[in-house]
Amino acid sequence: MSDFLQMGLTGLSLGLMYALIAIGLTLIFGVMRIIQYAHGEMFMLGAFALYYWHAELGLPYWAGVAFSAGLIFCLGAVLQVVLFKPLQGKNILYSLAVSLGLVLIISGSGQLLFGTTTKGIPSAVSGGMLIGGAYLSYERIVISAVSIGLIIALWAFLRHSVTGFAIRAVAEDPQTAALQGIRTDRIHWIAFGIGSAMAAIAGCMMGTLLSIVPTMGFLATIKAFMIVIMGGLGSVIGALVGGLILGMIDSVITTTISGDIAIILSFVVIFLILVFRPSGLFGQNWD
Amino acid sequence: MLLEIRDLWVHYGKVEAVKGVSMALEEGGVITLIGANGAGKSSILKAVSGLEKPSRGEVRFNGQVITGRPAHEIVGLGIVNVPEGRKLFKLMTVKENLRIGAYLDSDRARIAKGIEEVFDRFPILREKQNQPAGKLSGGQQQMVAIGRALMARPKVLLMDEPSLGLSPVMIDEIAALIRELRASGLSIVLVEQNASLALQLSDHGYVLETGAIALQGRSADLLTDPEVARAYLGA
Ligand SMILES: Nc1ncnc2c1ncn2[C@@H]1O[C@H](COP(=O)(O)OP(=O)(O)OP(=O)(O)O)[C@@H](O)[C@H]1O
Ligand SMILES: [Mg+2]
Repeated sequence: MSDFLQMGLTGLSLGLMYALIAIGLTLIFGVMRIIQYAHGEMFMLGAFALYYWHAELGLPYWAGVAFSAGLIFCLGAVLQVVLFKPLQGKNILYSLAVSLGLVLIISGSGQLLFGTTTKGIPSAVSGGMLIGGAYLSYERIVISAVSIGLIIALWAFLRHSVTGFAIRAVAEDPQTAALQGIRTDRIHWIAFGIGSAMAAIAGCMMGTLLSIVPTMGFLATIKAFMIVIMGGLGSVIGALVGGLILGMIDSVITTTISGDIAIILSFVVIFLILVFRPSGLFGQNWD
Repeated sequence: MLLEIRDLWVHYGKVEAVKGVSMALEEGGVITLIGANGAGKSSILKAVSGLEKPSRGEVRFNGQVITGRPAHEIVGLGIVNVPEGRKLFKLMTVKENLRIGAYLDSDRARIAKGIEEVFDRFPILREKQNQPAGKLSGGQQQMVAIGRALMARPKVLLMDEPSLGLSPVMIDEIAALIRELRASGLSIVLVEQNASLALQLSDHGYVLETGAIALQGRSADLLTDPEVARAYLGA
């Protein structure tokens, strides 16, 4: 019982972290129909932004999370305008090549600038509680609660704000969105920025709960893709559910059996989901 | 002239879709553009709306040249397009579709009033306001498409085959609506394959054949023109 509580909390926090990355990726895909391979690099840079802010400079933790999100929002928006916008409407292979190039450039420079040793970000919250023998750290609880809050905020933004409406409209049909007066180019960089910032916040979680290295982006991208495909391309809810599923598998199976089995089982679950629902759990048909 | 198109050309790569078309719409008038599949009707509306860049020619609105301006600016001028095939945001609710029609409007009270007006005009939409637009029947979807366009408070409505795929009853309803809109002072460019309907609803008609205007005149005259009757009215 106590094991389950502990594994459950670990799985939840891990799952929410995966979900944040995947929601960002699915948002970028949904709005722009491009595959952003360097999304994991935004996750990595977000983590190091908080690392330097909080661990090196000793500035306040939560302000650092906001700083990281803001910085990576700007980076994402600039990348969209400078690199991806000129390729809009061209063969998808161009943007694919650009994002792959970004992976190499960013993770390579990351290794040069940040060094190759593993780093951690000190806790913002200390202590924990014992429930029936299970130790639940406040840090994990607070971080999980904050990421749930963020996901709800994003959801509400997409559902209820005018810009959120515009993002959904552009995702569905950019030409018709333009006919409503929406500046699709503006929506593109906004969505790219928000998506990247989500990954950055996940990077902050990673640095706080686990540890970070400049090469961690690649695996994050792969995990995010697995989740997005499982949840359904372009679906925010799908990315959330998919992230939680993967997080729980990772936590429970790694603790009870082994990490290798957790990876294999993740693929089996995704495979089964796709057999029964080829466009993912919450997938729409993107013509 | 409220809207004037002069010597408009539209190319898709090497395909010449529109070849030197000129048309004019007076304030409060209704003109129609009829022609077979692929004649270039939608291409003309897209060029006016800023979705396609004309390769030659110009579009004037209130005397001002608006050729080549981006689509979002053209809507802002009051030229609003009801696209062929409705093109609703199918995953969004009926009400959200209407709301987004008023995207450029920042007056909340006016937006709420606009939505109420659409619901008064199409009571069935009030019932279905929270359903995804993609779940509605073809006729109801056309109501949403027109409602969404009205939310932008248009001066000119460009309607691309509003009767397409609708039942006869529904076509009558749309026809009545177009008469009503015109009576309220709206200027309309109506594109149709249903030529007799379009000519009955309009003052002036243009017959488009492979990208060029083959014939034009008062709609009442075109209705009785033997050539039009043979080619377009199935007589
Ligand atoms: N995006 C495009 N790319 C290439 N060719 C196009 C494109 N859109 C239209 N065309 C071509 O341009 C010509 C005119 O098309 P358009 O859609 O304007 O005709 P239309 O009169 O609206 O036809 P319909 O009654 O079928 O709607 C057609 O030959 C069509 O194949
Ligand atoms: Mg057409």
